Amino acid sequence: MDAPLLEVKNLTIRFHLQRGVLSAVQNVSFSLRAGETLGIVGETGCGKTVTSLSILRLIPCPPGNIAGGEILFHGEDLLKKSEREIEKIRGRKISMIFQEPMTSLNPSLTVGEQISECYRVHMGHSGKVAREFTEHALSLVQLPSPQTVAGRYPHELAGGMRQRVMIAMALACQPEILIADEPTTALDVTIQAQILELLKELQTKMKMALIFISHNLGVVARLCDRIGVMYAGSLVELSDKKSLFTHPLHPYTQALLNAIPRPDLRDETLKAIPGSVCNLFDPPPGCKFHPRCAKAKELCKTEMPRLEAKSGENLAACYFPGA
Amino acid sequence: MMLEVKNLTKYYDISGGLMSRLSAGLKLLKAVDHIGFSVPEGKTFGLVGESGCGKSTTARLITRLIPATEGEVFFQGRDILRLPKREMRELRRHVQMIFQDPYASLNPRMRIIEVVGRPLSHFQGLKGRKRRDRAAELLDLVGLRPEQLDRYPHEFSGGQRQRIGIARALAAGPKLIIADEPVSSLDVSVQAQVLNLLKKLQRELKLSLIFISHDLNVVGYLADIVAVMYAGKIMEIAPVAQIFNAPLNPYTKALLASNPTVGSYMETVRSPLKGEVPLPVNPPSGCRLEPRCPIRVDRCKTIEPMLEEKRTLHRVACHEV
Ligand SMILES: Nc1ncnc2c1ncn2[C@@H]1O[C@H](COP(=O)(O)OP(=O)(O)OP(=O)(O)O)[C@@H](O)[C@H]1O
Ligand SMILES: [Mg+2]
Repeated sequence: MDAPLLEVKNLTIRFHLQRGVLSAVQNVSFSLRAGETLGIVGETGCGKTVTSLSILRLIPCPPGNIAGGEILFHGEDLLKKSEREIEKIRGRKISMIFQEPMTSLNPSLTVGEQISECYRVHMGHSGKVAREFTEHALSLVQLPSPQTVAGRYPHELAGGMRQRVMIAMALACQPEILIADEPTTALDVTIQAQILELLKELQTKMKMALIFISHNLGVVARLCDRIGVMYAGSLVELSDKKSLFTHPLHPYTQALLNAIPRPDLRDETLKAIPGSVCNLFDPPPGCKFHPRCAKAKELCKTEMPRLEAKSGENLAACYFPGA
Repeated sequence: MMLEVKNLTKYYDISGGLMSRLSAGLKLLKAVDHIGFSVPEGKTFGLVGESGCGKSTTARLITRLIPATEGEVFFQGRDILRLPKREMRELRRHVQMIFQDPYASLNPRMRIIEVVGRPLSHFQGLKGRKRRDRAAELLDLVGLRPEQLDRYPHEFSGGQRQRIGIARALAAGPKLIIADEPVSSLDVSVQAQVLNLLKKLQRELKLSLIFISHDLNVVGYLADIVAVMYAGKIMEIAPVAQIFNAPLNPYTKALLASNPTVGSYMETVRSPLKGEVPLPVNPPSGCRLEPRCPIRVDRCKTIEPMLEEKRTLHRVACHEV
């Protein structure tokens, strides 16, 4: 097997706030192989965005603090690099797109100006070459008339088109890894399908690895090879897609799957997860899911389980995994 | 029938000032355009569609939060849209709404006892001890604790606030509840709790429910009858099983194919509809879906398809079905 392209090891991130210390991410480890699609799912506040921002070193410190761990990219620890070295990787080798494209597009520049700037700054192309590349990038994301779109300002575009522009920008430098944080959450379902299809196509064409973050298991299901499930700052399961949906290992994964309404199971009462997510300022000892877990035993209340192989290459952080 | 909607229409003139109207002509946003449907007693009627298709406008028209351009809404036989003010009060008691945003829809300065107590005194004439007891009962009914009556909204989570919104709606003693995206801002695990609650209450209290959502899975789980809207028009209405198992309109089919479900995890992504979701501004005279439709023919451009019964209880607006 190939050595992983990216390896996150024991990543721990805290925020030092007035109310106290918030543990946003705790001991998270996963790896990403070249060309693979890794999904990360979990409910709001579980640490998906913080984890992905830390890969690009975009966590505001303070109040944030990467309290431990390594992020190895081609074997080199990104957390040890200088800001100048990181700038050579960010947007170039590793790119990111966000849920709300308006926040990352500059409202006062045309779409064309913004994308060609990527080419000039990162690749050192001249204005003319950059403009040609820009047009190519816009046609790559299948915008109907690239030249017209290049002359538009972000607010003049509909949601789906804006997200296409974001993708064009993120892929301008042919990154090895694209991190997409809820890129379709704000979109209508038919437009979401278009963007997912586009991402999949481009990923195959450009042979890049994709980390796709979403709270929607159905979306992740359609796109990803492997899926990681996060709960309250921990990665509780990391399994290949089929296993995750047919034989989920972690009780939280099982509970999440059972809580999703399905038109084909309308006569059954949904199995809601009792209680609510723990307070991240004061998480319980042991497994953070134990207060809501039907299987919890004494051990779960005292010892935090580690993410380990439980079935083939599928990993779970649970003392009593499986059915 | 609990509610019968006929030719309900809302047009917005978005031409701007006189000058732009003279130069660019009249611009009409046909937010809801001559739609009709019926909600049977004790059933859940689901209204599904993408942003801007007219779902929320429909809800606001029925509750008279905004005036209609045209049409009738019969509630137990009487046209709501033409009721005098005095009788509207009685109607408000019977038709209650639940909103999407559990944060914005509760007054932050009102304790829960006041939130739930107001409709109790207003519509049921309850006061003092009786009012408090009934409010406590309602909290219990929606899965909150009676001792939480004296708390303020900010002390509750999103799911709990949505329960409070439900208790407030129930306090009036309604026959029909219109819920506009009531679970859209909630996480899956909390959403499941609220959906279970709505389903239980609807059955036990024999309420009629209009449930509006962009989420097909949620509508498919809760509704008995489903109407699919697109750009101000109803494209298809049928019992829920027919919508999901044997959809006829190409838009419904596209929605279902685009819908990511956990059941379809092994399917690859595909997008059956190209282009953006349009706003119906000066829409073409034919079918609204025509520009994006995979099965369009010539007449779809010029002749508008009517909602017609193509199978038993299954009405579809499409020339090619
Ligand atoms: N800049 C910050 N300052 C303080 N706390 C933060 C900051 N960024 C994130 N957090 C906290 O870290 C935790 C994890 O947040 P994160 O944004 O990663 O969640 P998420 O899984 O992306 O959630 P969502 O699905 O809502 O996007 C949350 O409790 C959040 O409030
Ligand atoms: Mg996030």
